[in-house]
Amino acid sequence: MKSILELNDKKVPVVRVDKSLNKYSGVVLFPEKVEKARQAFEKLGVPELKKHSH
Amino acid sequence: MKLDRYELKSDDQLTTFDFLSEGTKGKIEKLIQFSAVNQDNLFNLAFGDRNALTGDIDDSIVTDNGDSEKVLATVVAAIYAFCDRFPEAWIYATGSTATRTRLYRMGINKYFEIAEADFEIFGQTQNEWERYRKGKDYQAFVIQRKKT
Repeated sequence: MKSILELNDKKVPVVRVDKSLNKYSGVVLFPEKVEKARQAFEKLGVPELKKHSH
Repeated sequence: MKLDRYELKSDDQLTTFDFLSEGTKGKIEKLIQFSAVNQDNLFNLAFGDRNALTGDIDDSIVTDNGDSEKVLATVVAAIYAFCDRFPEAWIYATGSTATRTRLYRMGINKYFEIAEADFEIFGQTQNEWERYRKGKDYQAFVIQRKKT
């Protein structure tokens, strides 16, 4: 079994679930940023990986 | 490379994360949120400070708590955790001001080689996405976890 220290060394971190944060589910904390993102994706779509492959 | 970072807590869905910044101005609670943007697999990433008095979340405040690298590393850790759960997600991020966006760019530049190994990284120009290039100015960034 991996120790907590080993797990914390991984890129994907150990994240403790805190149910008190569930109050933010469905709540947009940063609406202006989300609107900017929506406009960018609407205008440009998502990047084409093949077109941009190295 | 292992970067020093804060302990993360999250909601059940791994879309809202919380951590405590500890620096020269004391302890400041920070919230990171990945919000769905209308279509499947499109998300916005934003983070800000939680005002201890009002409970309001503010992403425009300049905290200057002397731990910006550790905060950035913590946000990156949250991205890894989020992408582990939503591997197809495209994540959009921009600063609340041009200065803040430039700071994000500096952060990407600093760890670009590490980030590029794990993520597809694009910058937003006026009319298109282009593969991120160090030193170029962008309006925003979008990333996706590379397929293994």
